[in-house]
Amino acid sequence: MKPAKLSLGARSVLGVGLWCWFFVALLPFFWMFVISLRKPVDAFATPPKIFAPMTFENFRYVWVEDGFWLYAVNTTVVTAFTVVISLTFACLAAYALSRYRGSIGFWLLMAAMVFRAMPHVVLLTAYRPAFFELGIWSRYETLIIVLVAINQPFAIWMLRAFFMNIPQELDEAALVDGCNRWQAFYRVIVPVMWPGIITAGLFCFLLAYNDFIISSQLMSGDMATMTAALGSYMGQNQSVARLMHGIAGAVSITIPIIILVFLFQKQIVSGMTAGAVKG
Amino acid sequence: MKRSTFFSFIAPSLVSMLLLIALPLVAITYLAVFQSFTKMELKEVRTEVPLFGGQTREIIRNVPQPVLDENGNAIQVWQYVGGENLRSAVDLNGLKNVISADREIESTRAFIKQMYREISDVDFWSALEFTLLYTFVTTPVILLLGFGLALATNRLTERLRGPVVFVTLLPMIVTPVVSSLAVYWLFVDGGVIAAGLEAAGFGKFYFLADQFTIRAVIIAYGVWYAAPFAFIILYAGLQTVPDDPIEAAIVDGATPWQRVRYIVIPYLSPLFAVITLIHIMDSYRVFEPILVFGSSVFANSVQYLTYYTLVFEDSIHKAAAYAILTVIGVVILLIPVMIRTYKDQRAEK
Amino acid sequence: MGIRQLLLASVIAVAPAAAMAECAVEGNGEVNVLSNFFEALEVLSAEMEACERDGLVINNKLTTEHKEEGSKAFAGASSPFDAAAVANSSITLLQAKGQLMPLNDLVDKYRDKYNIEDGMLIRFGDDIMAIAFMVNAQHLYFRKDIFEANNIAVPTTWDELLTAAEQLKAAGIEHPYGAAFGNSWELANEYVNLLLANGGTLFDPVTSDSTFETPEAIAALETLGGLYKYMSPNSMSMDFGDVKRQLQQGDVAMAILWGNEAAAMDNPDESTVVDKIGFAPAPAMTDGGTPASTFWWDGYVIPKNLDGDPDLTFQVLMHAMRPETVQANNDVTLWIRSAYEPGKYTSAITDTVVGGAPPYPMNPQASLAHGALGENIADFIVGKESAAESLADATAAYRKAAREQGLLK
Repeated sequence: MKPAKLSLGARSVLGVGLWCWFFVALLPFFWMFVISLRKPVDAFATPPKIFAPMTFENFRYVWVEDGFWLYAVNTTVVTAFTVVISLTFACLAAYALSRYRGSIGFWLLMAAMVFRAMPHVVLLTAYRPAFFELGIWSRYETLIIVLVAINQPFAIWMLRAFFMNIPQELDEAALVDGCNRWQAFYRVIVPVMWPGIITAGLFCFLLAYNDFIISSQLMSGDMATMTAALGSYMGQNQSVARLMHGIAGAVSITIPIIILVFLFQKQIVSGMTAGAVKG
Repeated sequence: MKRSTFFSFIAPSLVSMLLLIALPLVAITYLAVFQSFTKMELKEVRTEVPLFGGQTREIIRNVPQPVLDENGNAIQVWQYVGGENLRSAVDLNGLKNVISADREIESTRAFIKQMYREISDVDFWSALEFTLLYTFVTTPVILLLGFGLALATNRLTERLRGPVVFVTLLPMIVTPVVSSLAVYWLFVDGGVIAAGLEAAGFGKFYFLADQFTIRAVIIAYGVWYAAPFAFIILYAGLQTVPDDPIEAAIVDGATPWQRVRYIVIPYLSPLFAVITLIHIMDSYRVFEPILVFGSSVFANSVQYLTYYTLVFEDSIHKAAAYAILTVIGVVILLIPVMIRTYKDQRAEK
Repeated sequence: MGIRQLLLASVIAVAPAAAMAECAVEGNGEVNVLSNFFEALEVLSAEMEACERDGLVINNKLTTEHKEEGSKAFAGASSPFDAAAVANSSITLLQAKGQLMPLNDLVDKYRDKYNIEDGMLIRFGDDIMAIAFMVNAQHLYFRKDIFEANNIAVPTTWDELLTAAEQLKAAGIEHPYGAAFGNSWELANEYVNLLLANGGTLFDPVTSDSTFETPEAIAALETLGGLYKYMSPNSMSMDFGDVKRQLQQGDVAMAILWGNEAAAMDNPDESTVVDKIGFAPAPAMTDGGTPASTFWWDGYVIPKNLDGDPDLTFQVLMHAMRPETVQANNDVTLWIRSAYEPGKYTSAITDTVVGGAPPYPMNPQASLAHGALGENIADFIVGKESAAESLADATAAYRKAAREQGLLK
């Protein structure tokens, strides 16, 4: 839509509003970055200090002494496997759902919608006693497979929207050429699906990376992911120094996300709008 | 596609969901109808506690001690209790009392207020109350804010749009625990916002002082977190609004506001519906701000209540009862959507 | 700096390292220890980890979520943690559920090697269930300079404390008092302090039923509620760390805090009020009464279901708790070992205890009562309910929890 010609008043209201939003959206992150580089006494000074001496001590402590690098490794392992496995499972299922005409497909999608809306703590209530009894908590495999399953409903819906946009004639032509379904899927559909797969992958990554409830409860000690590890900096009896390490940790978690948004802005936007705008 | 091929394609995904989503739903139902504890008996025990410098203080008192089996292990009791956990979670007896209690009714308003207060004294109802409040207050605000931002961004030059979208994505994409903390640190006692308002001459503000202010801050967080989602969808939608009807409206002398009101909004109405649906699903799960703001006295959520019961009270059976109530809530919220999708499906055929 | 001082300084700097080097722990394997996060535990963790060598791996997890992690680990088939730091209240349910390993044999075996003192042993009947290393109590922290400037004596009773708060408020101190009312555990703890000093009890030792609704309880709760108007309106969402920060930033003039935080008040990296904070025993509820505080011990336990070697774990713990650690870190906390020399940061703890503050009740009923009170009395503090109503709610919550744990029929 082309922007309309507006009066000066209306234009300035929109302009000022936009700048206010820009400020409000950034302020929490900006302030967190600022105080992460301060000594405890300056970070939470009352009234707040605009300028204070900078130090990297919080980051050094949390990464070197506290072993945050270990949590970063755990996060990398867990998110990488979760993304790859989630995508593989979800692509197969979403492709089938986009091509199958039976009513089972519809009911599966409905079930997936309910699963997608399910608060994760509902599942955790069952995982916790079961996994402790089986002795399989605090392992990569356990968390990965759980996150894969939780990712499925969402990933299936999103990928199905992308598959729907690929004309059926394409795979039908491949079938006529003598491919079976698997070959048609692998040789013909997947190559044109890459943009959709990358977008869905980003969202699978975000779900695994941002998860707090499940990860903090299923992983313990040195097996914690970065996000889950934050919990142990924030509870009661906190010392201010400990809190500062937590802030440095929080900033460390944010930086990869900012880089990701910077690099993949277009894909993220297209992913969000895939289900909605294109129907 | 053949049915057998269909099933072989969806098998991995389906199995993972059955095993780790559907089966746990069965499991919580099972957990909710049982009660378990370690069998204990009161015994008189002499305990010694240290003071310092080598001194100790001796105390004799009744302490529950585990009842041991022949192998010296504590005996675990696992008892079927039927609907007891669920009844106590919604406090059925308490509700009956509230409704049947003899009261001096002064006015209908006072009566409703009193009932409301007593019902919201029960953990589950108070958690549900704030969850619904959060959901239904944030929804219209994010739609309005998102739409306003989309219109404003649409006026920008191509070069400026990128940075605006980039910054707008951050609140919704950064790890929610982290972004909740980042917002919380602005509002702490003597924090940046309070100090800023005081310096600007607005007087002293205490954002974490009472129910109203804490709820307002959490809802503000909710708007900040979810408005970008509405913005992105509506902004993408604006790019697809056809120019013809708008130009026709210009010819007819419609004001810019009339064009938005009678052409753009109706055109985008399916998007408003989708945003509302997804936002309601997400709001029902609100968790991180409640956890981070540490204020469950004033504002609790269904998901946080279950988490707290499970993790901090370590009471699996009670948590399972809350979880079942949560699932029932999800299904009720989604019924209208499912009916509509079902009708659409029928119509397509 | 002269050459001699320089030499002396380097000797002091090297000394703790030298002490660490002689680690006489025998055996190989892996030891994982779970604990809360505060300075004394950091010291002990560092001592344990200094023992690492080929074939001996030692991990400490310090987390503020230690209670939750510990209870789930010790209840499972096998615990990834071989030992955990606990205190008066957190040991009770673990012990009552039979999840802890009696340490009698290990104490006998290593008593001489690590100079284990009787005062460190926590006994339930004949069983030694934990080895304690420090005691702690909450006491009064106050701003010496502000109290002097306004001619206010250090309060010894709660009435005096409320009067002092009123005077300070009149003198223009906006928020004279700070307390962690936002954390339900700390809130209940503050209340239990007042309740016990006021002659109240938490539960009936014979029936295990709660005794929340007594005149003593209502009086104690009303005293606590009276403080609220002298605190920052944000207090209902402040935890212990926030109150500590308020004191360190000079936002409040007094607070009741844990004794082991005293040294942090004089740490210029954290505090703007270095040397301005005085420490005194917790005020009493009545004239000449015992200080309204309870004393706590902190120690280590070994669970029955550990996946490592109890003997090795025990040695590592005892090595960290040896007298040299206490000597090298004397001012960190109030150590139990006789090697400890009282200093200015712990005298208020000892005064509180010598004044007759009782130990925190070591019963699982008390832990449940604590939880039930913490969840319910906030409604009174903020004026949503009367004291009696909120205590009645707490009674209902306690009975529900006690029945679930099988403590109450």
